[in-house]
Amino acid sequence: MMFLLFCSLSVAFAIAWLGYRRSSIAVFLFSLAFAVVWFLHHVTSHINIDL
Amino acid sequence: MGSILFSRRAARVLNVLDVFGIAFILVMAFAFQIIMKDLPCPLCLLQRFGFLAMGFGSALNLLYGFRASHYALSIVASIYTAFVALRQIALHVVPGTGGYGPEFLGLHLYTWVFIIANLAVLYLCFVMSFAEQYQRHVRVNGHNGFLRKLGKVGIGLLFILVLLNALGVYFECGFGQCPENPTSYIH
Repeated sequence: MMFLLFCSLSVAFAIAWLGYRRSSIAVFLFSLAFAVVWFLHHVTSHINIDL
Repeated sequence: MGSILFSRRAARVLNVLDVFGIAFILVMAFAFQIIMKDLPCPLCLLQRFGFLAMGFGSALNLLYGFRASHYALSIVASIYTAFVALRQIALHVVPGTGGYGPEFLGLHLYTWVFIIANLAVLYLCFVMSFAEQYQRHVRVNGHNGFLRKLGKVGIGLLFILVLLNALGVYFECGFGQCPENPTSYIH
């Protein structure tokens, strides 16, 4: 899954280079959101709560 | 003419330095990984991603002209990177738990990431506040030709580093979950 994170960022850079500014920002924000979710998953997976 | 304090040329110089500065940090991270065999943990990989994301705003400035929204993207990425680094500090800050990875000048690398990310937020807020850089000129300044090319080289370098990081993640983790304390590559 981490592999997809870096792939999505590389796609953002590639789209920006090719001249599509708004599309590159959209892909960048998607990859950043993905990174935030991944970070939250990492944090919550280490919480031991006996429900 | 623009202000002497902060012309578009000065903004271009700073953004080029940003791009190469981030590239330097990522190259050093690869040096630790390859030479010192220090494989990055999941949080380390997220911090590398954060640095690359910080460079995206500067790349947009160099490709499409200076906009506050581009700086904002870098600021958001910097805040994210700081949070990830703070998480890793918190995991190891209690005396006796032991740190993770090598140290540089007495501080762990994730501590340096936290410091740099916070400084980046302050720096970006300061740089984006100068309005002269957002003024659009009709005539392209010929003196910026070298800087434009250098900027594109820097952006290309960042792109290569993103691809290399993706490749490194594949060798370390495949398509699945990355190990918490990686010691070897799985591919």
